Amino acid sequence: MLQILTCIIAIPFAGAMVVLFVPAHWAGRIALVPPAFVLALVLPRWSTAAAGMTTIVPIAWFPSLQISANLRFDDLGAFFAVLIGGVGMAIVQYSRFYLGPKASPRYWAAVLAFMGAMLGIVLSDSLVLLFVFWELTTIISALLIGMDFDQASARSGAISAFLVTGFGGLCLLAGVILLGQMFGTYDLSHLQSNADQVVATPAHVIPLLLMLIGAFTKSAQFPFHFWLPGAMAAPPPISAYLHSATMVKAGVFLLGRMFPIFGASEIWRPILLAVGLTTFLAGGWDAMRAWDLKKLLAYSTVANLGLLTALYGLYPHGQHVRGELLNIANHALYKSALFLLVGWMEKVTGTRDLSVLRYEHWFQREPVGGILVGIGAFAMGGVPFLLGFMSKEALLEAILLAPMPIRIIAGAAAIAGGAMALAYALKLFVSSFWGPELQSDDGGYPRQQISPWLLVVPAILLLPQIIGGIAPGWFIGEVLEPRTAWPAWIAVWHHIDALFVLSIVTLLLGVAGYLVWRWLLPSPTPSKTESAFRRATDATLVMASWFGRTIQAGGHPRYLSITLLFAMAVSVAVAAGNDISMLGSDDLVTDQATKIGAAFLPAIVTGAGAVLTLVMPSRATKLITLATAGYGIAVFYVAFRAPDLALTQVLVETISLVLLLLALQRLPRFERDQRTWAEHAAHGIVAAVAGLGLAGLAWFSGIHQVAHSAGNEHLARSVPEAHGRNVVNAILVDFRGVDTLGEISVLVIAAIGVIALLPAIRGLSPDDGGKQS
Amino acid sequence: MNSFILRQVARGVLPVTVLFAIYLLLRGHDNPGGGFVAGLVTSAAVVLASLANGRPQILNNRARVHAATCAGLFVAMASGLVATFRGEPFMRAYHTEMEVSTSATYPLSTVLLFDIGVYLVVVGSTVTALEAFTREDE
Repeated sequence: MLQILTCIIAIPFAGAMVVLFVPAHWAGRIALVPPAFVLALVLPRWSTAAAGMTTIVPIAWFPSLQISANLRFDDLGAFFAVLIGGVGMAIVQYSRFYLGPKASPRYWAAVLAFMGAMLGIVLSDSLVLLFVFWELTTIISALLIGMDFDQASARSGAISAFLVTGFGGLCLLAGVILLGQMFGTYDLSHLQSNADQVVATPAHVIPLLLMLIGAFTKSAQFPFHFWLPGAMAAPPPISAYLHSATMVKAGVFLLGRMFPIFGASEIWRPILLAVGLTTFLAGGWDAMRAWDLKKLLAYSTVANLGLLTALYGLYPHGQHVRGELLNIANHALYKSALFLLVGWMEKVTGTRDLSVLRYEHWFQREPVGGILVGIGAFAMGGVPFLLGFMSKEALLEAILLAPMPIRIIAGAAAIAGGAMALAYALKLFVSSFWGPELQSDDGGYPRQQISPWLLVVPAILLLPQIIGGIAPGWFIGEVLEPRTAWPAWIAVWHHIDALFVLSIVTLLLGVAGYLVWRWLLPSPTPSKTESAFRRATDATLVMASWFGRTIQAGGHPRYLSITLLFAMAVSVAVAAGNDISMLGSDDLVTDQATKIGAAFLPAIVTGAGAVLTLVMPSRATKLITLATAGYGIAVFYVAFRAPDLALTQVLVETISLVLLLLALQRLPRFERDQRTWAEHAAHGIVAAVAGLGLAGLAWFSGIHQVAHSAGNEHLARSVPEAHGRNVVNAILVDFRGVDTLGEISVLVIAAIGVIALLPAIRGLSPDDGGKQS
Repeated sequence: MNSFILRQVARGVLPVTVLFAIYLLLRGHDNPGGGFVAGLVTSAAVVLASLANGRPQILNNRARVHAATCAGLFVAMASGLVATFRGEPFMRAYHTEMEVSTSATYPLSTVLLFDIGVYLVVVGSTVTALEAFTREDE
């Protein structure tokens, strides 16, 4: 199982690497292979997983921190893997014919890497591993949304999606760490088996809230839902894949994983119901008002995600959740098909603006596409004989089983939201295909340039909708969720009961709503929530620039003062927290008194260098005298027998001197000192505070009796454990090797910063300056 | 700085300095030295060469310097991943002895690999900064 699961996750990433290095016309074909592999690996194992088999594959990662990289294969994970692989394959095939030569290797690599990251999320048992893949999807999705980076809308969409989901990702990380610290494990399966203990701890509320923010941002829940319509700047296959079938479902998936752990928490149900139902209604309302077909679909996705969230609040805890997979599958299938069909409509008609399309009669010209859009739209509206109807029945059943006050509120919201769903479904289908005028062939692409695959792929995605609608007992009861005990309503026709009445009422209200919309026909206006987000970001930018101007005003003296005073304040605060009375012993000082004689000469050199730096007139001489002070310190190291430090000090001093002198060439000449006396005094005080503070710190740490010396321990362990007699190096590369790795990463980042910043300072873009890089 | 004497001295000193740096790198585990110091020594040699010649050849091959920097980071990371692939915690070190001659052996370890990574990153980032400062205004 280990090999199979790692293969499922690794193959898309490997494919992403491969497509970067093959000719562009091969890249699309090769991109079909990884999803096919994933399907071939997951589908044969679906029946056992669906029957309730959960396989945990333990992988050690940081055993000392209880962090594992455990993988897990169960029904929810396997179901998502099929969805990601299946819809992914459809998307790749569609993109090949939709984008044509515009699909660069970069595009394929990003799609495949995204697929791999999604598979990683759904197959992780370790929350830390899940978080890593979670962040990967955030980053890659921002790259995919901003694919056409020469368009402002694509850039702003990518940035707002990245900011919102990135913020949520950080909240998720905080929640995961808190949870792990509180219960000593980061594994979902362990937490799940200790769910009673978790919920019994009052403090579980904090990690729960943080993780919920993570899930809500990812699946675009109110009040974070504005990023999703903005992300519609991406090409249609990306919208279909990321923003209907997979990425936004990651939030729902996380809720599905959290439900067995936190489901019994008393804040779980109110929060999920409140957020989910608000999103359901707000998204539905925005979709009713939308004029851009893609925006309409985006808002309807928001609404449906709200519904899925609310469902997790409705399900009774402790039982196997009925209709969980059904609802997710239903939405993923019809919504991705509809996004692809809207992409096709844009090619055919040249627009996706409903205010134009409603005057045009397209059904006669494009009956096949029209029928497919109709099937998708009716599935969205929850019309009988489609999977969408079954999904809505499952929702209504869950509401009818809920306790009393919730039953009324949620029932009203479900009817209102369901009616809106049918209304905007009819808007999408009827208004865009049956306008008064027959349209001539201008605007869109010529028919022979549009590949039939643009209709075949959505048709394949819609096929399960029809199968599930006509034979729900077999499709839902045996294939999708065999573990669930299904009641009688899972059939094409069942007797007249409360469920049936509610369904009919919803459908009638939906038709009425559509007719009202046609009668009123409001004019296009931008969505309120989007403009609110824009105001919020603008306000943030204004505040940021005010903060920047205040803190980062003027030259170096100010920055240095702030940094130094802050560092001193922190040191004093830490020292004040310590027990100063312990510092009385002077043994160490007298012990080293013999060495103080040896330190006499370097002390003079260092002191002279420092004083000369103050009085020297030009910058270059100041630098050289400063270097003298540095060399004096190196002599100190020699006197105290620290050859490694001495060597490093000399080299750093030399190289930084030369680099600084080179940098000086590029600076304007030193002006005459125009500081006022007050400024002089202030700078002098800052310098004195910093210098004396550091000296005091050094003095205290020197005479401080160390209870447990790390140095002696390292000295003792250096040869037997690190096989090295140079203990400094053993610490650097072995004992604290991960620290060093972090430090050299910082070095590389600094080098990147130099490359990126220097040409910009000179008014050149990096592309002009670095032709070879 | 255009000085004939400095140029000739730099030509001779540069290879010796780089050799010395490699010596420092290899002996670092038992004696003063190591990847960081060796990287600084090499950088000092490049600084000397660039002072003597205005711009030495290495600075004109920007892509190669960048590649070396990134390669260094990858080598350092890969040396830590060796342990991961053998099922042990990240960055655990492995040691072995290589026979240099019949009498002498040289200790080889993943730690040395890590040090080589540190060396490449230090050289790469200093040379990048140097190159940026000495670049002629295009």
